[in-house]
Amino acid sequence: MRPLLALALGLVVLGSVQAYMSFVNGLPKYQSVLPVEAQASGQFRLELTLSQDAQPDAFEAISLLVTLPRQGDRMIIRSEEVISCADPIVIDSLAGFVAGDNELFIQVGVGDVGFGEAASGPVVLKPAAIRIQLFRDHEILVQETLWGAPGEPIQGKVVIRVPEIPQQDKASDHEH
Amino acid sequence: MTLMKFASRVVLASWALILLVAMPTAQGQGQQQEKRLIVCSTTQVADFARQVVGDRWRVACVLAAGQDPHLYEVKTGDAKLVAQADLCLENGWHLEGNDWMRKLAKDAGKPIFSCLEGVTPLKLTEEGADVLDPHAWFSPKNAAVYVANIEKAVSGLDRDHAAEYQARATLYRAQLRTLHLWIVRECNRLPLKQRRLVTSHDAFNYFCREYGFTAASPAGWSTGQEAGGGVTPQRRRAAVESIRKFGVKSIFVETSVNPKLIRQIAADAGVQIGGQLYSDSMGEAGSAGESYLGMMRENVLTIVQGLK
Repeated sequence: MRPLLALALGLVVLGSVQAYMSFVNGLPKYQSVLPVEAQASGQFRLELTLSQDAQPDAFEAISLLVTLPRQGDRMIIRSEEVISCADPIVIDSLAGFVAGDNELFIQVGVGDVGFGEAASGPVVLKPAAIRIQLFRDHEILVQETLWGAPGEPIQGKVVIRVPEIPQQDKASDHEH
Repeated sequence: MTLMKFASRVVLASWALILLVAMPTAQGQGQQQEKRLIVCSTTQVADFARQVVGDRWRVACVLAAGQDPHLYEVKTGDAKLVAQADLCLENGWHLEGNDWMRKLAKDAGKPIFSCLEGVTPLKLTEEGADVLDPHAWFSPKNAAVYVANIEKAVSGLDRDHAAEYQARATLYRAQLRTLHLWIVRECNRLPLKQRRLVTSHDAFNYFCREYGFTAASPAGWSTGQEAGGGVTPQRRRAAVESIRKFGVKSIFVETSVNPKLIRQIAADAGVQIGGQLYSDSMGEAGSAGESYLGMMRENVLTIVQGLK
C-alpha cells in the first residue's frame, strides 16, 4: 500500500513539474522591439577604382565582393571574373542605405602570385588598393582607400554615416 | 514508518520516474551523435579532411606518420577500418602503390574520391612511359584543390552541414594563401642559381615549379618499382653530376624514405646533408610537421637554410 502511495505522490510531483513547465512555455514570448531604421533618402551612386585588375586566385574564386553587412549581408556585387582596372566600376541607384551608420564590406582578389617556370628573379609582392567613393544626389558622401597587404587580397569595411536630409531641404529640392 | 522515511521514498520514486521518462530520449540523442567516419589513405589527406569536417566526422588514416605510400602493404586492420567508413579519400594518380586504397574501398563497397580531381598535372616521361606526378600537395595552390574536393565530397553526403564545411574550407584556404605568400618571401632570399633541390626521390616537382627550383634526385617519382620509379645507376650518376656542376651546398633526406642512399651520394659528391624533409608523409603527433602547414613551414626553413 505504502509503495503505491509513494508512486502516486511521485506522479503528483512529476505532474506538477510538467504543469508548471507547460505554463511557463505557454507565456507570451518577450519580443525585443528594435528601432526600425528609416531608408535614407536620395539617389546613391558607388564608384570603385582599382589599382590593379581584380581577379580570383587559386585559394578563392571571388574577384570582387561588395556587401552591406548591417543589412543582412545584402549583396551589391559578387564576381568571379577578371575585372579590368582601366575604368572605375560604377553602380547607380544603389539601394539599401539607412539614415545613420552603414557599413560597406569590400573584398578584392589580386590573382595568383608565384615564380612560375620562367622565373628570372625574386617575386615582387605589391600591395593593391581600391578607392571607394559614395555619392548622394551627385554630392560626395564618402571617399576612402583600402589597401591590402603585399600579394594578398584587399579586405575591409568602410563605415558610412548617412545624414538624413532635413524636410525643408527635401521640399526646396522638389520646388527646383 | 516515520514521516522522513516516507518522504525519502516519495523522492526516490519521483527520480525513478524521471529517469524512466528521460532514458529513451538520451538513448536517441546518443544514436544521433554517432559520428560518420572518413578513412583517408595518407596523412596529408587526413589533415585536409580534419580541417574541413572539424569534429563533425571522425577522421582516420591508413598510413601512420613517416610511412611510405608507394611501398605500403595493406594489413588486415585496414580492411576492417575501411569497412566502417562512410567515405574514403585517396590522393590518387598511383601515389598509393598498386592503388591499395582504391582496392580497399572497392572490396568494402565504400565510396572513394580522389583529392587530385581538377589539379593541373605535371607529366613525367620516364623510361618511355608518361606518368602523372602524384605529389601535388607540395604546392599550396594544389592543396586548396584537395580541400575543395573534400568539401564537395562531405557536403554531398551531409547537405545539412554544407555551410559549416564551406566556412571551414574557406578559412583553411585563406591559411594556405598565407603559407604560399610566406614561402614566396622565404624563397626570395635564395638567388635563383642556388635553387637546386636534391632529395631522396622525385617528390618535390610541384614545389620546385611553384617556387623556381630545379629538382634532382637519385630515385624517380616513386620509391617503388613502377615505370619511372626506383633508383637506377643513371639517375644516381646524374644526381651526383648535378650537385657538382651547380655547386649545390646541401642535399636533403626525406622522413618517409631510407636515408642511406642520400648519405652515400652526399659522400660521393662531397656535400653536406642539409636536413630532413617531410615528403610523402607528415610528422609524428607532437612534432613540428604533424600538420600540413607545419610540415611545409619546416621544409621551407630547412631548404632555405641548407642552400643559402
